[in-house]
Amino acid sequence: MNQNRESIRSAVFDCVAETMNIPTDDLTEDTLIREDLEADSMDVVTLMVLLDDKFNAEFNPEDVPSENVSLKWVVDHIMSKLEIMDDRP
Amino acid sequence: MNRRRVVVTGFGVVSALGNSTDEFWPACLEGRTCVENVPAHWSEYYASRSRIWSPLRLPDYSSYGLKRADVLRYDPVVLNAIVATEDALIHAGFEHSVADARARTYRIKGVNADRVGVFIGTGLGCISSAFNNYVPHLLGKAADAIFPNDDQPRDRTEELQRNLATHPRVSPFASVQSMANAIAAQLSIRYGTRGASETLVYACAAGTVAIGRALRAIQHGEIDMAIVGGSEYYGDHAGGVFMAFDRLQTLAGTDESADTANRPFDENRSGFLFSQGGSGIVILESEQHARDRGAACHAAIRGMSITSDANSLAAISEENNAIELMFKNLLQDSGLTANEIQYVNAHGTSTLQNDPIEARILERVFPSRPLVNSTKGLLGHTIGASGAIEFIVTVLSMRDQRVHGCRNLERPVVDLNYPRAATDATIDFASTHSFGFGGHNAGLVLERLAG
Repeated sequence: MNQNRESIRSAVFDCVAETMNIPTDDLTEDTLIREDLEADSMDVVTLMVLLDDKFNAEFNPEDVPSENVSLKWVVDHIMSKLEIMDDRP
Repeated sequence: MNRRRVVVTGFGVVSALGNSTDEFWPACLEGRTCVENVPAHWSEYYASRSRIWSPLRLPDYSSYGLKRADVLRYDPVVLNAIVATEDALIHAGFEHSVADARARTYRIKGVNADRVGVFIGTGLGCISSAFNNYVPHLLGKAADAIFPNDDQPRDRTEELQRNLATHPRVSPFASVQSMANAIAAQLSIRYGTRGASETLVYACAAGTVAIGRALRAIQHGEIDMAIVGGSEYYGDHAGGVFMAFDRLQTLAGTDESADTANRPFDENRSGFLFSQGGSGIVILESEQHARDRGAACHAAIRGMSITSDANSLAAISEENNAIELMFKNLLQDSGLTANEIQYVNAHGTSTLQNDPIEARILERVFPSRPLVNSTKGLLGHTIGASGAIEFIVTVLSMRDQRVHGCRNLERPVVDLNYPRAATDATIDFASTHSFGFGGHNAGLVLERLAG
């Protein structure tokens, strides 16, 4: 089962907006978390905790590359995580 | 040494009797309490001697601007202290503006943040976070051992975790979520205060000690203002903290009805009413600082004292006179005689051991028979928050010249001047004190101010 990409995208934007305390209108899939939003390591951890809470799946801060992480990457990362969970025996 | 006078300009409360002072204080005067049977599922883990507790309804954090990210990052003992601080700052007449929207930090308008400190007392700190993060850690690793012949141990482990109502994974914030200094630290971070932020871990005396230490820091000119108080919260799903106190046989309610089991200073008491928690926060300022900004001053703190029993981790001691030494030092520090104290907000836990010892000492120290009551008779024992909440009750009693009654008191262990119901009284000077596991004795004396 693939959760609708649009709903995942919307939830990711909400979590990023809450983490960085900015409106979702400021975000696009090309937005870079560190470079554009100036997220520090605690912001990335907070984002992972919010995504974990939202999708009930384990998101590790160490899985996040150190640069050029776009919101598209986050959406794709969640899609792949959820598919991996669905593939479990 | 010339000491500056210190005044109370604001306070806020999170408690089982209301999450604002406007709810809490009238409930105290009405003699209300909040007692329920412990959650039924706790008996699946442990057959407790006591069957009652005082649960805490958590405040609506969102109405204080706290977001889901805050709830996931901080223990409720921290969030409740933030709620009480918000109310205390508003009560003290402060406005705060956003300093950094992303970091969710604020600036208290009109104060020099370099001269503001934070002093927070707590008993077990952020123990719920420690417990709740330990569960997935333990179960994740032990799944195979717990279900040796199960071909789907992961599913069984997750089922077990669901039953324990904890998050299925250890939070990346587990370490900072669990540390006792997170309460004081987070208040300092949130309001940008740059004086010392101190955590006073003194068990049941923690709130009183925190106020005393802040008093000294302002008296001696280290800081001009402080966010001060106590916070405690037990949110572990399986009642582990309750069990710990129950096994020590300190809790109320062996074979009595829920409503009357908690009865400080009564012959028929059986132990203290376990409270799930609470927070009491007070804004203290040097009188000059408060007057300069035109703030209403609700009371002055005349003095403080802390002594140690040097006797037992759990038992209160009468033999070595450390409590009487605390009162002697307290009155001396306050520049008052015992006869000038008109109201004593007592420790009054309702435990078998505490109450007769405390009552005998009060009888000896205060021969002029001031009014004596126990706020724990209403709220139960909020441990690290109790001293701060009882300090606020003392300030309110002086402000309104009215004390709350001693709920369920019928046959006193010692004949002190206990109001049985809310009573009008002239109170210019009052005392409040706490005794903590570990033999910590702390007291404060307050003076009424007209405003």
